[in-house]
Amino acid sequence: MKYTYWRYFIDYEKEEKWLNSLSAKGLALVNVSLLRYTFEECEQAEYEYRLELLNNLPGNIESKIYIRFLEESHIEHISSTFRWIYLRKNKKYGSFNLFSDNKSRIDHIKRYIKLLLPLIILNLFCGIKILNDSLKFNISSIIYLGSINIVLSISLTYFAVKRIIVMKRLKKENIIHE
Amino acid sequence: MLERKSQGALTESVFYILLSLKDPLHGYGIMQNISKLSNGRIEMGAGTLYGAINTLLSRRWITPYEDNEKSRKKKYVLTEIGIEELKREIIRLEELIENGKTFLGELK
Repeated sequence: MKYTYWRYFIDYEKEEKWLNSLSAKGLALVNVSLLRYTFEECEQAEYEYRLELLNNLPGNIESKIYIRFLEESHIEHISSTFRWIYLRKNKKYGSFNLFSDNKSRIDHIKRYIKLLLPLIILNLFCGIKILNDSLKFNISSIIYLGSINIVLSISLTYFAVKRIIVMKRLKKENIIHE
Repeated sequence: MLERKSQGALTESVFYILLSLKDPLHGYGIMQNISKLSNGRIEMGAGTLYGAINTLLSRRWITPYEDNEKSRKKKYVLTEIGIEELKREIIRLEELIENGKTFLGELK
């Protein structure tokens, strides 16, 4: 039996936590398309899930080589949205962490921030432009649109800053420990 | 061979990856071997390992290994350069250990 959930995440760690909490209850993610998450029943806590933002789209040859490498280590590629891949590992093969040193953790966070940055700027720019135009030409109906852009920009900034704080901590730690 | 400037320490991951590749081994084998060598202290992440392998390949410290077996898994093995780098690192580590032991001796 399949179960469908509609969800929206910007914070990938929250998304991972959500997927793992469902996996602990016996629901294993089998597909993601945009906001739609499809689950199948599984043994309770059979799988651990992780998300990774790739440098390229999953269809790219470099991504394919990487995903094949992961699959050779008992990691299954479940689904993708844009450059995000959804991965899982059966717990009988041990714990599942993609990154085991600070350098690769920092690299991944940098990739995530680079993804958010253009969206933050674009939304801010559109928001200001629309609000400005709505005042100038007295069109109140588009005020909402502009406000949505501004709110989106601010919330994306919040998530970016959250990761930047983590990255700073890792970099500091790197001075003493590898 | 050109005298190279001191490159500093190898990372723990790189050191153990190199140690694991005396004989040809695939990625998952490397992870298992590192876990075994470190008594489970290091659980190498597949993403981290992949990045490290690519860096080591580009520096030619390791090389892809083609065997006759029709195994789908890609294997890697140490090169002469890799062995030299390992030797250099072991000498550096010995220096650290020597100095550390002297320190401990003086503490008593």
